[in-house]
Amino acid sequence: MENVGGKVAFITGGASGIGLGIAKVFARNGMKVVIVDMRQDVLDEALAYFKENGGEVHPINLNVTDREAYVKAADEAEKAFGKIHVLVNNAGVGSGGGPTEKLTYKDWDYSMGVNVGGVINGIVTILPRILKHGEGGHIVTTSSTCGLMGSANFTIYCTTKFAVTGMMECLATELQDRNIGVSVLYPGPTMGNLGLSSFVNRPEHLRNEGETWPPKMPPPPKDGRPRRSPEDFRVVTMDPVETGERVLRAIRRNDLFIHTHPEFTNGYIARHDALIRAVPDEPRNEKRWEIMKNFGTIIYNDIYDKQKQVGPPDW
Amino acid sequence: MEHIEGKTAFITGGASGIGLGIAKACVKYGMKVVIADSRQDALDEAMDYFKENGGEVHPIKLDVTDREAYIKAADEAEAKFGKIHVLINNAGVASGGPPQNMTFKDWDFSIGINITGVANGLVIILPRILKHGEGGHVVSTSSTAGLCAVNGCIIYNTTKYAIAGMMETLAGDLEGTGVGASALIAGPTMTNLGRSTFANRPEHLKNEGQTWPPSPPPPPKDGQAQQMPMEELRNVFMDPVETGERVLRGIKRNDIFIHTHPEFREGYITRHEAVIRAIPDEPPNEKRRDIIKMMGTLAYNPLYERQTTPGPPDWKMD
Repeated sequence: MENVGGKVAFITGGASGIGLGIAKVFARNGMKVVIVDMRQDVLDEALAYFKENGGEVHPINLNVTDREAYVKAADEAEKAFGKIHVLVNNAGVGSGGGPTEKLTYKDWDYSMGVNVGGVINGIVTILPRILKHGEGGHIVTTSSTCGLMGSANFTIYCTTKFAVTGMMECLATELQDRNIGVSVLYPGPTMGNLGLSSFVNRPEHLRNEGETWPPKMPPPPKDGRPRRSPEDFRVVTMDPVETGERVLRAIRRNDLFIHTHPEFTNGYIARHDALIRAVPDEPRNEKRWEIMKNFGTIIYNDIYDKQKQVGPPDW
Repeated sequence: MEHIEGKTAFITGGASGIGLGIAKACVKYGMKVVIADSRQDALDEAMDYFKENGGEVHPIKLDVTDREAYIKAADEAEAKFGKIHVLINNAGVASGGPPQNMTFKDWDFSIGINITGVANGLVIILPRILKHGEGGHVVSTSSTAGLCAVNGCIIYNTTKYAIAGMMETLAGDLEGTGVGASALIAGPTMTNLGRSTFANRPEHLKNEGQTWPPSPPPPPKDGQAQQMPMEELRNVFMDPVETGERVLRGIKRNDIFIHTHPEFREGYITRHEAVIRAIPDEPPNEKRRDIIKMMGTLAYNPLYERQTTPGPPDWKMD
């Protein structure tokens, strides 16, 4: 989608963190923006920002797991701005860290509900509306570097972020001839309040007993690495507005994958090399291959060939 | 887990298809097997087979989305065989169609079984495996569609990618515990996935007017994927018992990924190259890089380094 001016974006988790960064960049580039969030206080804060700095922005208080409310929110967005062109499925939670055997149903249900269920609700509710108006559009979903490789103690987070990766790759394949682009966003460390918002947004019935904020510090790494200080973290985390610039560039370029940080490359390569090494060293079954090579995208999906090299920041 | 003889496996979706193939292979190598399945007729048929051909096999009727029933099934398995060593999260359902036509019922049905059903297995059985200390293994059935996207399969892709991520993370979590974890990347296999998917779908998650067999999909736009008679396809699809052999080898070798078919390699490479091309070609932020390096497995997971290459089949099929 090359021309974004005047187009309408619907951003979940849009009132803080990465969602707000994307909203600021969209607004600055002449888009109309619906910021959807379930915390009224951050919606108010965000709106105060836009009132001061300009931007056509409309706030909606929505919990993305509430399907009926989601339909109403989409209706309200269309009423405010006419149509929805860009859907940013960004609302997500980071709860459920820890050894897999200690994870509870409440941990699983909470994260699955928001990180996967919430995105599904966005697709089911808004994709048909984008298809219907025929003016084209784009769908971006926030995954994570944890959506491309496994990371210890993040079983639920990785599960949900791999899930939306698969979902977006398939959606891109499906919509490539429909003038709707699809991207999956892999943010590295970004300035946000994911920990706090994950805690605040967690409904009572999905809370483990005795859960408090801030959480207990995890045990120091086994291998004797020094523990990172929060200060270290703040120094290197990306400004969400930069993330927003990267997202907007990718929408214009129609990138399938949006990376914010180049520092994870070796990790991705290690994962890929492992899965290729695991392919048994045995001759191809030629009779089987003769038939399977006609299986279309099951055997080879050329959507991946369309991803072009991304350059340095140009904004 | 090198020594599997005498150990107990708990296999969901164990009464047909890939699950039954794995069960047969487990029996062949002297394991005790609990086959858990939601279809009583398939359980009965499978038990007829084992009665005739031998094997310490115990059937349990179980819907993996029912958490209370799952706990009872695990208790029953332990009452019968003492301990559970190997958990095979294999129960799964298929779905297909354009993304804009997928209903909440389609999503809820597949996510409930393919992801939450596996999570239920981890919550209920993983602590039991870790507790007895005799070692073990967890395998979850993903798919070639868990590594690359496939047209018409948005829900299936979503769930099978999720399982790959879950198992890769779990394998890292379990390093040093004597319990391994693998994602089974199954290619085309002789199963009844379509039929069992339909039979297992509860009324409240059925779309209106859904029947079996489904109406055939429209012919592909690009002429690539030809429609082929089922009989011809069956000739090339893998015998689930071969899949079972590959799974047991993967358990013994402690593979993170268990591939059944070598023919998908190029597709995986193409996908990876796209991921890498999308990384901005920009100078590294040195300060940031140094700190990200300290983030452990978040930045680089050395787990992957231990994956080696399995050789050609080294088992005998009956």
